[in-house]
Amino acid sequence: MATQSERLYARVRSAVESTPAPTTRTRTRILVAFAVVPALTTLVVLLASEWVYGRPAAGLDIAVASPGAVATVLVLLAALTLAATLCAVSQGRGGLGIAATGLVSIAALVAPVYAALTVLQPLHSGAAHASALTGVSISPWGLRCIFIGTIVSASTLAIFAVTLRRAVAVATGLRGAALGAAAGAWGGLAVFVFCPSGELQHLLVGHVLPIALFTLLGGVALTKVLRP
Amino acid sequence: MERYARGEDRVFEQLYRLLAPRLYRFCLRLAANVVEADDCFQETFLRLHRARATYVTGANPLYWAFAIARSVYLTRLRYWRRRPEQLGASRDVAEAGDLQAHETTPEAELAAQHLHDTLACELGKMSEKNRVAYVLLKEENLSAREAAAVLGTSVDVVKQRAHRAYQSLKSALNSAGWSEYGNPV
Repeated sequence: MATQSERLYARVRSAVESTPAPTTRTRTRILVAFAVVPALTTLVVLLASEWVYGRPAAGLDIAVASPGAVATVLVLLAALTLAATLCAVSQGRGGLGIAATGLVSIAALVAPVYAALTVLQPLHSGAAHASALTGVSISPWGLRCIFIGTIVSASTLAIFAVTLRRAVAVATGLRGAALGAAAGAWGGLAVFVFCPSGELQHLLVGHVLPIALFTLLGGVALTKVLRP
Repeated sequence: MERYARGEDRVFEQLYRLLAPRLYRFCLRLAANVVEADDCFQETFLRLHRARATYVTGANPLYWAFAIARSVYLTRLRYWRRRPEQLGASRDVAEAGDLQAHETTPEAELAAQHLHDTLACELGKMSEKNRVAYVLLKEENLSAREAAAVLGTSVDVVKQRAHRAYQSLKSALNSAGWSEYGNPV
């Protein structure tokens, strides 16, 4: 006559044996993601910029007010994006990710910091000037930038979701939001390199708003995917 | 756990023996009854198995299992909240727990049963967040930092929740005629 604990063990054993489990370690998947995401972002930006403006990184050399300031902001944005990504995908020493306060900080700060870096200081001389230089009309609502940013951010978010699938046991909503913010930051970096517009409305709607939206999307949509 | 994460299925029994006692006790504390605790325990092991490749070398597998168990429990709780007609515990959590009379006299058994009922009732009444923080700190002896990692919150919040749980248990015991150490007053 089997005891209760033996019956429970038999149930668990049987359930486990009939369930396949992937053996590719999460660390390997994270390394692959870190190789794929920058490559994908670069590819999308170069192709889009070449196609629209006829040059590889229009945002960095058309209607630029100060090349030094643009280079500085580019480095800072890259640092912001990498830091947000590293923190968001980190599994921590205990395998439970970074502290909740860190995740909240990433989710809450990426979009405002991006806005502060790109909007407060005028880096480009304006959409009209850029249009005159390139012969390409630039939407005041940044529709083209929203499209490019969304392609990069959505792809990045999908890659993060695959990378950390079933790997987040705690604070899945916060982790999803942090991953969304990081994905949004990659999209923001892409449109910064792609777009020569300096109009405030264009920057806020086309460049900053998608980051905030992807933060929300990550918090809502990734929760179930990330849970073990 | 590291070997299991690498895909060595044959170490499962060993892993089960190491994790099961404390993990099952944790599930009992989380769930409303033994049947629910069994299901929660089984689901936790299943998810642990599915997520084994995500295990970080050197991490404490028990804490990781606790975090998964709580995630499983919260998922089940949300499920049952959407179907309130199914609610209704058959047996209480502490019935299978450690609270048993050490003396065998009928009076001692009655007193232990009363103490157990009071504690179980109060544990069942308090919020899940306070209860889990209390269980991790006071029963599973995790540090506040470890409990915070398992619960995905800050150390201060864990301490506050455990303190609230402790206070409500203490006041429930006092009003039932017991001291906080389980002696009649």
